[in-house]
Amino acid sequence: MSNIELNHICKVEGHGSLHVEIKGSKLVKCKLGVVEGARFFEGLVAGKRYDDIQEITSRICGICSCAHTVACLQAIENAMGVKISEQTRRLRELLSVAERIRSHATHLYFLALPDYLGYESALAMTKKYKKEILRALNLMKLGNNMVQMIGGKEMHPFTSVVGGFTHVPDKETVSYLRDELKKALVPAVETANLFLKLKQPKFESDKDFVALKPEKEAPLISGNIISLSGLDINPVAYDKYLDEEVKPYSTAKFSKFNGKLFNVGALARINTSYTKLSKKSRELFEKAKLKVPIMNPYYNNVAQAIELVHWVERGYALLNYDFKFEGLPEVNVKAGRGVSAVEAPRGILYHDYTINNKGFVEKCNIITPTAQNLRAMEDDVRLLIEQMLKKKSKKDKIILEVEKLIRSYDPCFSCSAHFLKVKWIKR
Amino acid sequence: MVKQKEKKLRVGVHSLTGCAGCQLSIYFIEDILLDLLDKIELIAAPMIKGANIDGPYDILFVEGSVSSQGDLENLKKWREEAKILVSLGACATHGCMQSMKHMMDEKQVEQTVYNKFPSEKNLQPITAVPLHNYIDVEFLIPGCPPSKDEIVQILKHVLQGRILRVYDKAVCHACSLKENYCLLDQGIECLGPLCNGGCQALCPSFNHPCTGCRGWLDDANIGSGKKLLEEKGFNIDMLVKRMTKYNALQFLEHEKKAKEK
Repeated sequence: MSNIELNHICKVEGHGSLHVEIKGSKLVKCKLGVVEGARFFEGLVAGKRYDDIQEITSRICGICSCAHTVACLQAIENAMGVKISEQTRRLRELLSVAERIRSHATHLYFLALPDYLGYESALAMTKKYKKEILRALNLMKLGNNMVQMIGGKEMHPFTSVVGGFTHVPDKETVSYLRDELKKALVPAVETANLFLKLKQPKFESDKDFVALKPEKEAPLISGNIISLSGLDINPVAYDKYLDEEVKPYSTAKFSKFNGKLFNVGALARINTSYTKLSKKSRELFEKAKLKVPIMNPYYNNVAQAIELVHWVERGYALLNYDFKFEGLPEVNVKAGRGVSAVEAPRGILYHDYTINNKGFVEKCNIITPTAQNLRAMEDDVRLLIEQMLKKKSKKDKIILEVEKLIRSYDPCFSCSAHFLKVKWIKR
Repeated sequence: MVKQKEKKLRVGVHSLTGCAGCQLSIYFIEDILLDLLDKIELIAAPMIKGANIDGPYDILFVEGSVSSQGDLENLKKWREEAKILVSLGACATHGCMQSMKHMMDEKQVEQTVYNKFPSEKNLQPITAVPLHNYIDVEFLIPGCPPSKDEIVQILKHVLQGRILRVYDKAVCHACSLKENYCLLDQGIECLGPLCNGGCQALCPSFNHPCTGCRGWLDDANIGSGKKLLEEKGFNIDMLVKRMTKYNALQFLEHEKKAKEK
């Protein structure tokens, strides 16, 4: 096999690199790294006051800024013992739902689908698949409108602050969004049907799946941490189970959970709490004769499409509420440590702050979903290449499948700091 | 009339270190995205395209700040390939959050996050700076995220060969026109008087103070701004930390100029 060097794995969020060395027909080295420049967020927030932190840590990621916002605020509130109203919780759930609709639609149609249909990009598909692209843009617009109308702007929402909201949507806005969500159920179901029909590569790997435990419904912004292997722990204890390691080729750290390779994300959520999905999404899943747990990572795309239906329905239900401005929140500063784990579109996101008695951050730790998935992703890539080398697959085909596999994880390399250039070296 | 085959504008979208949100803002122009893309040729946009080619670009959008050796090498290459290079968003125009490191003990900030920093050469950090610290840029679209209207406007202007007027009024300007109840008068630390508008005073309109995501006004009198805010009883150390979230470098420059005077 000849030398291959791809400089930038495309259609993922941020920059990553894959370095593969092959001797004869044997894989000798496979290193997956994040090459996004380091921004040192945990260091930057040190010494900043509690009410300045969300604005900073939201900037970790453009596509999941709502998840960072909610995780950050909840962790700070936990640290200082701040109680929030039911309405505040509901608005934060809505921000998370809105973001998930937008994020899943963007990933499914713009990043994942072209691989399955044999195009270089969604833009190249507009002649034959205009209906699908317009559907994607509509779903993205819905998510964007929701975040904007609740959070103040489409990205990096600012109305949600420690203790509450600086603004709440008025009745007309709520009723407009409810109508839009009601209409969106049709394109969401069409999306699920489209992805359920796509042929998925045969590939399985043995990993654990970790997600938040559903309280009443599918997990979103709170709950214990559970795994397919049976663990059930309080998020505060996350650091006793999660170990992180720095590698020379990556600004993202690599993790294991309870000593096991693991995945977080849509597939992990469905594998651990399938029964908590809405009836409609379960019917779609069952109609396709799918059974949990699914050990094939490519099915993360299908899981996202199924979830889309669930979250559109959930958003509609959450908006059935009489929102009233509760005044600008007043909070009392108190020293303490607070942890919050939320389900971002790509999986569990941890924010952990220690606040001093003046309200300033002393210590901060943030662990993003892609950083947690990185090691399992690297391991899957290695396994896939080994299998394809055995089948004597051609180099081009291997690269294509590897990229497709990585994209199905929906990695966010900006977030993890920290991922994809493919370097292929033959020795 | 014989319709001439138009030569489409060759456009690229690249990113350095950031959150990818500015680039997403382009793809989030949902209503007219397809029409817009029909008028141009998007030759490189690695985040949403598999087939990307090198320049020359008629117009190249670059998001993110220069934060690693690898970033700097890419930026210099893109500059040579682009006729018009646009700094897109707060990281590219002002350095944004990651540039706060200039105000802190840089080694200590690094060690807080990595007990051992990855050793590869292109990953070595550069404390974040905006693009124009290393290259000339033709346009700046500030904001975190940048306004979609402004992105569309700039493309339309370039398509029509016109020059875009830069917005140079304080956030307060639009805020007063909207008849908002002034946050400063309510005792909230708002930076609107010192900061570049063009955002339709979005944050103050939602009862949230301006924190300057579009940068300082060129003629902002930061010294007297600080004094006024101090007189109002705001803690100055706290305010400086707030004032330097997006624009640490611009702030340091202003301070230096003030000292020279």
